[in-house]
Amino acid sequence: MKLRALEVANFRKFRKPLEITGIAEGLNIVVEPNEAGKSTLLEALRAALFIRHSAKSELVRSFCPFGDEVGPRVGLDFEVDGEAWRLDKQFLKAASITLVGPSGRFESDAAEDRLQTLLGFDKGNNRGTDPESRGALGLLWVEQASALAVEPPGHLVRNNIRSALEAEVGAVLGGRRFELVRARIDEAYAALRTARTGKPTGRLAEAESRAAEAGARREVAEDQLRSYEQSLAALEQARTQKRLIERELEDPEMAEQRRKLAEDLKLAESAQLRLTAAQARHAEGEAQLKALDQALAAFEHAESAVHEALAVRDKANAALAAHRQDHEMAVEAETTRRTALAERRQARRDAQGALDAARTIAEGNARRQAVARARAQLSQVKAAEQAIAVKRDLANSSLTAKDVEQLAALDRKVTETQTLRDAGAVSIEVELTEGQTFTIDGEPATAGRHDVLQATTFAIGKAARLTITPPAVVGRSAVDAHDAALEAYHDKLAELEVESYAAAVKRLNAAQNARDELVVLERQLAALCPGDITLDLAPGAAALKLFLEDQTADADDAEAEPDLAALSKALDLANEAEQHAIGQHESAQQTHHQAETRLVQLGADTATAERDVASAQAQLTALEGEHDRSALAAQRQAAGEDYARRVDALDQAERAAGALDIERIRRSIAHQDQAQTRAQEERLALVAKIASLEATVASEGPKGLAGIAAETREVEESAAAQLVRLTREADVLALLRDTLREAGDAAARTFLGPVTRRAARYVERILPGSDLVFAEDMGLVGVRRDGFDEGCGDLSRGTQEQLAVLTRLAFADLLLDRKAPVSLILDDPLVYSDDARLEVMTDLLEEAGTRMQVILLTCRSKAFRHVAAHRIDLAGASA
Amino acid sequence: MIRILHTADWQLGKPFARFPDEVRSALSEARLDVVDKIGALAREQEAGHVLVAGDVFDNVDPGDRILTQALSRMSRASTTWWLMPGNHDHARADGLWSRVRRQAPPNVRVLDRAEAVELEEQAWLLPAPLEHRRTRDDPTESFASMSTPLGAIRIGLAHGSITDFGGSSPATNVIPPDRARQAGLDYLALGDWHAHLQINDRTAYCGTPEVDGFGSEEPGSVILADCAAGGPPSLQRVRSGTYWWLTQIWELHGRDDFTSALQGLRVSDDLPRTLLDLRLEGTVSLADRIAMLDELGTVLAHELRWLDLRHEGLAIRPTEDDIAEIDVQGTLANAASLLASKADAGGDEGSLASAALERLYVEALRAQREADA
Repeated sequence: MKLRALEVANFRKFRKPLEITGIAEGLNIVVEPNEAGKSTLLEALRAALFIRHSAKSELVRSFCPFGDEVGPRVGLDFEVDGEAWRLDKQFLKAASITLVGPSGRFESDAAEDRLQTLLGFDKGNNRGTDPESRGALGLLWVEQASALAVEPPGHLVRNNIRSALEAEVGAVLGGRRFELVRARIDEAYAALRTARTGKPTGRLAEAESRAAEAGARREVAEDQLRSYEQSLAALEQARTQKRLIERELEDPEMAEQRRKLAEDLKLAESAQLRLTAAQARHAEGEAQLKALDQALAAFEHAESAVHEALAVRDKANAALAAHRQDHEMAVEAETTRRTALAERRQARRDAQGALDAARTIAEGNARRQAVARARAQLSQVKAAEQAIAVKRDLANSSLTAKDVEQLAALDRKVTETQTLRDAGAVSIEVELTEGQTFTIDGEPATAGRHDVLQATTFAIGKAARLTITPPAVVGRSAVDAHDAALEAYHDKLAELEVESYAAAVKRLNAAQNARDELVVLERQLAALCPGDITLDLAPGAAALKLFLEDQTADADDAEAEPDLAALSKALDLANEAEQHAIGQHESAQQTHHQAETRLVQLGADTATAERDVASAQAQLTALEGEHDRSALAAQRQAAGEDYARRVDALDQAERAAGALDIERIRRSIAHQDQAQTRAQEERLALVAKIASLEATVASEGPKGLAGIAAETREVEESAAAQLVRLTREADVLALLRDTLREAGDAAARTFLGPVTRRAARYVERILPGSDLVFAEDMGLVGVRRDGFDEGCGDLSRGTQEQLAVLTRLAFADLLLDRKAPVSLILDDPLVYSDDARLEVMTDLLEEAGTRMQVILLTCRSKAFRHVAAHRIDLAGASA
Repeated sequence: MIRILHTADWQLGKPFARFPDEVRSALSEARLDVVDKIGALAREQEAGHVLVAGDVFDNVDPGDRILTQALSRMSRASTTWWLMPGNHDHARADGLWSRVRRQAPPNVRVLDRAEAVELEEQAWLLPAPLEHRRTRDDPTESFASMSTPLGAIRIGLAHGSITDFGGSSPATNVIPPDRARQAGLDYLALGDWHAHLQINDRTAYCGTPEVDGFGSEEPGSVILADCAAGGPPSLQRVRSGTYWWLTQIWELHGRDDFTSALQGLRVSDDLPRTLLDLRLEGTVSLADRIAMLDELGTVLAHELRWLDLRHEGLAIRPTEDDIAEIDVQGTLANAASLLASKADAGGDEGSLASAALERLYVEALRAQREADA
């Protein structure tokens, strides 16, 4: 099939007629920007061919330009099998169709039918058409949105392809029967297990729950049966127990035992009575014996008390006598020690007096020496005071440093003026010779130098008179200045009372030295008067002088110096002797005191012993007055014999009572009675238990629990068997389902071999080493690379899109071989392709263009610029 | 001489719970009905005593309905019923037999003690009731010591095995085969074995009067016995049962085998009162197998009271025709040959594949039919 020209008017954005003519064979490319109406052109093509002119569906109404009430119109020139056809179709308003071909002109439904046969598609439904009904062109005219999808071809194409393939591979697919069987099996399986997870559902799930319920019911029934049977067993046991207890209660042996025990008890009780009596008599005898023994013992005791008291008294008297001697010795010793102490005390007092007298003498000597030392100091002080007075005069000179400085200035002035005066003077050196007179201005001259400042007359004797007039350069002023300076200098000297400047300097220095010395001298003076505590003398020269004025000179009173050390040592010895004597005396005093105390005590002891003797003797006498001692002894003898007899009797009674243990007998009786009571109680309890169990058994028995249990067991078994059957059925169905799928896929692979082979040529260019995998419905499932299947969804979008185009190309090739009307239109394809792939894809499309007409709508002019194709320009196509 | 009816193993109250309700209630009713039948038989044959040698009831505690039904049916008969506990309904204090005794009409006697009882003048019955479900002791041991008047007829009544009948559990209650002679019995009437079996001239199992399970090829029966002192009894087997419980194995290798087996069954038996446990074996074509199963399931099963069909043993050898029936070529044919080769491998997988193939065959034919129609 080849499109030649397309005319559109009142169709969506194309209100004005648009006419595209000269669509070439092979590859055509319509490059227009977005919104230029490329997709509308594809829509218009579809509408012209597949939508009946009479349709008024929403889709058809959408063909109208917005807001207009017009009839959308499409005209189409095309060729099929080399024959030219012209189709004109108008929708909605004045809807019409005209088809003109080699066999004539068709209108209305006849035209639609002819078109359908010509192009091989189904009548669309009321809502328009769907890809399923559009035939080959539905598959090959790919709109933008579905470019990506790798959809299976519609059934028309499938059938077409199928018959092509059948011819080619000679295989027959299961077709409808296979689909039907597969659907049945899937349905049957789904009735037992869910298709996705294989979880039991429907009958299988019911069977499962029935089996579980049956098991639960069986357990309940068995529990009830068990509990009923336990009741039966318990009932039998209770009855047996009751019988045993009753037999025990009626046992004659037990009654006999009980009677014998009662007899024993009686015997034991009388033996006990006899024993008690014997015990009383025994105690009585014992008491009698004891009283007699006590009386006899009192006698013996009194006698021995007298003996003991006498012995004690004798011993006390002896001790007193012995101690008296000791006491006297102690008194004597104390007196001796006291005398010795008095002597020692006197000796110590004497030594003390000698030492005190010697100390007084030593003190007087020391004072005298100190006064003499003070006097000596006084003469030194006086000398020092004189020196100080001298120095103080010197130091007190009125000449100050300032005066000396002024003087120095004046002196310098004199010298300066003199120099100035001497510069104009004539110096004359005079040497006097013996015998000659030499006068200067009439005055005898002296040897030496003379400065002549004015006309001066020298007379050498008479030999000569020389008048020397100095040059006039020296004026009178110099002389006068010099004179004035000299005068000032001398005035100052007079003021300061010194002879010269040098003398003034000397005097100034002497005053400074005197001040320094004065400080030293005053320090010496203070050192000379340190004071003396022994004399009660304060430091300082004044105190010293005052003290010495009161002292009279008594140097002659000096006594010989006593030996203080020897006296002091004598005193120490005397002290020691006295202390020794004190210690000895105190010891003697103590001994004396102790002896005295002991003496008093021994005296008292003696007195006590005397009293004890008297008392003991009085007691003995009293006893003898009271009892006859020999009669007592006889009574004791008789009582002893009686007691022995009573002991015998008691022994016998004890033995008799011991033979019958009354407590044991009583215990046995109590035990027997208790056992009897308990057995009665148990019997009663058993009667109650039996009654209760009987009631239980009577009510449970008729329920037929064993029957129910047996029944539930069989139900459970049957439910389990049913479950096994259904599970097996499900397994069989699962296997069958899988096998069918496997066979279906295998068949699809074989069957679609030719398509796969054709596509493989193309696919090899973009995915080397890959095969396409088709499902049984001819839909592309994915690719197989190196033996691994990859689903379409796992591939990149670009690859998906390329594969979608390539499979269409493969189908188109196949259809072309079948001479079906084939035309490939791709709206904005290969959007996701990279440059390399795009180039491969455009190459393939160019190749395809040599076999069929290919129209490519795109907005990307650059992407397809390299492609050799016929280009159509929409803008230039407007009519 | 005394004429008695010897029966046992009534097993009243057996649940039959694995059967569908209608079968189940028919079987249960039949067990009760057989009491009436025995009563009628006794009257017909003028047997004054019906001796039941154990297992009157299926279990130790049947429900009140069963008990009442049984006793009221017995009360209508003119004979005296002597009921003895067996292993299924063994005696125990306050159990089933106390209930029976409380409700029993005058013509029903309970033999729950091992003591000789007088049936009628000079005819004594020596019962050996069981007190436990299983006991290794011989319950008839005490027969020898049970004294009866000189010259009286001694009839022993016991429940247990004479020999090990090859059951799944070791034989219990084993009774020596010559017990009748040892204990000076004129007849030893035994229960427990559900089929009729005469051990010797004085010892016999009567079998159950109404068969209750597969394994017996005849309907239930009782023994009509004329016993005399000293001489062996005269024993006559009388049919009492309604249902046949047949067990058959059909070895099939083709359509003909099947047809003849089916014919054989139809000719010889009372199909509406037959329960058939049928096991198919052999190897047939897929088409044959389907056809046979179809015939059995849609025709024979409805003719019978119950068909218990086990067909796993009937292997298929799919023929080329079978496969061709599924499809000559194409996907279905491929699937069929995939399954056929798996089935050939045998084992569990093979059996599963075989079943799948069968299903595929059925579905393919069905689809074909629908396509044709």
